[in-house]
Amino acid sequence: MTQTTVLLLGAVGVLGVGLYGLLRLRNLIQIIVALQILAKAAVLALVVAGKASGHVNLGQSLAVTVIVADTVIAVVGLALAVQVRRRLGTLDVKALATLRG
Amino acid sequence: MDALQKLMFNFFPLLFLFPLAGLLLNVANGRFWHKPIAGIIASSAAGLSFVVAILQWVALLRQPDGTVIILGTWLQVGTLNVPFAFQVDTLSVTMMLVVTGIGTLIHLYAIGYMYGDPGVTRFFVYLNLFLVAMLLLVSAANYPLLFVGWEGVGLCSYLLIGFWFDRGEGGTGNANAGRKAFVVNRVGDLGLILAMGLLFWQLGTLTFDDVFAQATAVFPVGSPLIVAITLLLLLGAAGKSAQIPLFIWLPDAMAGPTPVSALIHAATMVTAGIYLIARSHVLFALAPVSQTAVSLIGASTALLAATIATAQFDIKRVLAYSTISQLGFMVAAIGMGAYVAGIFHLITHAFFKALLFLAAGSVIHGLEHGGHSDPVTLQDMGQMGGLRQRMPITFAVYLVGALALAGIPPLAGFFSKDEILAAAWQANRAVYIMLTLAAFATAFYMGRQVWLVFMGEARSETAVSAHESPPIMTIPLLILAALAIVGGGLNLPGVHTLGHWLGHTLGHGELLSFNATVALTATLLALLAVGLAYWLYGRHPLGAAATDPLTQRLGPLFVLFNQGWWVNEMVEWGIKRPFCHLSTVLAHSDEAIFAWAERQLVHTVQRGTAVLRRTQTGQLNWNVAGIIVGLLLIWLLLRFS
Repeated sequence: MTQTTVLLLGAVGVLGVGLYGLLRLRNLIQIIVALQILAKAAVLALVVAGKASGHVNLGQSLAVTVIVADTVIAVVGLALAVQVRRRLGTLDVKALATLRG
Repeated sequence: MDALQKLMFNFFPLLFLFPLAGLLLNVANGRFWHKPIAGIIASSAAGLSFVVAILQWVALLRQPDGTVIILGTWLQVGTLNVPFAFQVDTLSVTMMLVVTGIGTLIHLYAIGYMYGDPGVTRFFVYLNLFLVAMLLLVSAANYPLLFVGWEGVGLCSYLLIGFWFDRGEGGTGNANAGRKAFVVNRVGDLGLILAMGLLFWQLGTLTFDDVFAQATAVFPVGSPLIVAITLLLLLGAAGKSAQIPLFIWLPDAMAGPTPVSALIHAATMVTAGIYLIARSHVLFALAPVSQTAVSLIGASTALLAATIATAQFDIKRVLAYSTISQLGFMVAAIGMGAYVAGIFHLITHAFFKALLFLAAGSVIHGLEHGGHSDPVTLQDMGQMGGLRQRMPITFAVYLVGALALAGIPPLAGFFSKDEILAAAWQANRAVYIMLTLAAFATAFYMGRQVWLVFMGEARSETAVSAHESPPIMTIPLLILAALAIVGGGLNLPGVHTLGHWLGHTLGHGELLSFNATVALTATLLALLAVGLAYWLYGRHPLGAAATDPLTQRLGPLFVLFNQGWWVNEMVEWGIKRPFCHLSTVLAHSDEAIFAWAERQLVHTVQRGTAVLRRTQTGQLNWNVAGIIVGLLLIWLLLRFS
C-alpha cells in the first residue's frame, strides 16, 4: 500500500463523513460544516493527485483556489442561516420545507 | 405604345388608391367629423376613381389592344409566380367605368339615404372597401389576384347585408342574412379555387394571357379536364351571380341598406360571375358541353326567378328576383358565346336596375319619414299606392327604369335584351323560349309593381304621409334615368360600338344582325304583359284591404311563385338540416370517442404523477440522497457501459 493510496483512502473517508453529515444532519449550521468537510476531502485529493502525478504546483494552487471558493460558500451559507433564523425562528431544515408532496 | 398613353397608364394605381385613401381617412378620423363629411369623402374618392377609369379608357382609345401593368411580386413559390399584375384592356376598363361610374352616383345618393344613421361612417368605409375589392376583381391579370377581389367583394357584401345587424327577424335576421350570403358564396368559391388548382396543375401558370395562350394547345376541344375546369368556374360564377341552385342568398341580401342592394346586389358584385366567364371565354370555347350548361342554367334561372318575382309583395324582393332573372339572361348570353350581348346587358342592367333599386329606396325613405319605421310594412307594396302625386320625380324615374327593364323600345333594356334573344334564336331554341317567357314575366311584374306602388289610391296612412326625397337622392336618380334611356346607344344594331370595342379583348366574332322578328315578338309580348298588368291592377285600383287579384287567377301557382318554388325550403331540408344532423352526430361521436380517450389519458398521467409527487418532499437531506444516488448511477453507467 503506497502513500498515495493511503492518502486517497483518507480523502474518501473524509468525503464519506461529509456526505453522511449532509444526509443525517438537520441543523443548518451543522449542514454547512458538513459541506466544509466535503470540500476538504476534495482539497486533500487535489494535493495528493498533484504530488502523485508530479504536478505539485498545479495540485497545490488548485487546492488553494478550492479553499477560497469554499470559504465564500461558507460565508454565504452562514449569512443565509442567520437570515433563516431571524425570519423563521428555527434552523431545522425539516421546518424549512414548504413543498408538500 | 406612345408616350401619352404610357403617361395615362401610369395613373392606373390611383384607381385603387383613391377609394383606399377615402376609407383610411374615414377610419382614422370618422369619429371626429360631422357625420355627412364621411359621405362626402367617400363620394369624392369614388368620383376621382371614376376619373382615373376614364383616363384608362382614353388611353385605350389610342391603342385598344390593352396592356398588363405589373406593380410588384406577390407570390413566388417554386414555379408558381403571381405578380401584382393588372390587365387594362377593353373588357376590364368597361367594367371599371361601370363600377366607378354607378358607384359614384350611388355614393352620392347614399349621403342622403343614410343621413342621420349613427353608423354612417362605417357604412361609407365598407362602401369604399367594396370599390377597392371590385376594381381589383375586374382589373386583375391573373386568377389568384382576381380571387382576392372576389373574396373582398364577398366580405363587403357580408358586412353590408348585416349593416343593421341588430334589426330583422328576432333581432338577428339581418346578421343571419349576411351569414347566409357568405356561406352560399363559399360553395361557389370552392369551384373557383378547384378550377385554379386544375389550371395550375395542367398549365403551370395562372396569368390570364399565358393560360389562354397555352390552353388551346394543351386541351383538345371537349376534353374532360377542360370541361371540369369550366364547370367549376361556372359553379363559382353561379355562387357570385346568384344562379340556380345558389341564388337563394340574394333575396335575403335585401336586408342591407338600399344603396347596397343597388351597388353590390344589382349593378356590380353580382355581375362578377358574368365577368369571370367572359374573361375565361377562351376556356369555355374549348368546352361546348360547359357552354350549353352555362346557357341552360342562365335561361332556367331567368325564367324561375321571373316567375317568383310576379308574386312578391316586398318592393325590394321583387327587384331582387328580377336581378336574379336578369343575371340569368346575361349568363345565358355568354353561354351561347354572345359575350358582347351579355356584357351589353350587364351595362344597361347596371343602369336601370341601380335606378330601380335607388328609386325603391327613395320610396322607402319617403315612407319612413312619414313617421313609421317598421321595415316590413315600409317595403310592403300592399301598403303603398298612389305615390305618383306625392313623389313625382321618383315615380317618373321608376317608370323609366321599369320600361327599360320590361324591354320597351327605345329604352336601354330593349336593345340589350333583344341582342340576347336574337343570339338565343340562332343558338338554342329551348333557351330562346325560356328567355322569351322570362321577358314576358319581367314586363308583367314590373307593370304590377308600378301600379301597386304608384297608381291608384294610398292604401295606408304611411303612404298618405309620404313625401319626395331630397335633391342629393333625386339627382343621381335623374342621371341614372337618363342613362337608362340612352344606354341602348352603346351598341345600336348595325353600329355595334360596344361590339367592336370589346372585340379587342373578346375576339372579333360575328356581330349579331338585327332580327326584326325576335325584336317585334319581344316588344309585343312586353306590351301585352304591361296590358295584362293594367287589366289586373289598373282598371280597378286595389282598396286598402283588397287581396292581390293574381291570387285567384293563378291559384296554387301563386303560392308556388310566392314561396319561390320552395327552393329555399329544399335547400333547408335537403342540405342544411341533414348537414346539421350530421354535424350533431359527429360532435357526439367526437365526444364519445376522442374526448373520452383524451380524458383517460389525462387520468393516467394524473395517477402516475400522484405517485411521483411523493418523492418531492422538499427535504434537504432527501435531495442530497437523490444527488448521491444519481452520481452513483452515472458512475456505474460510465464504468460498465
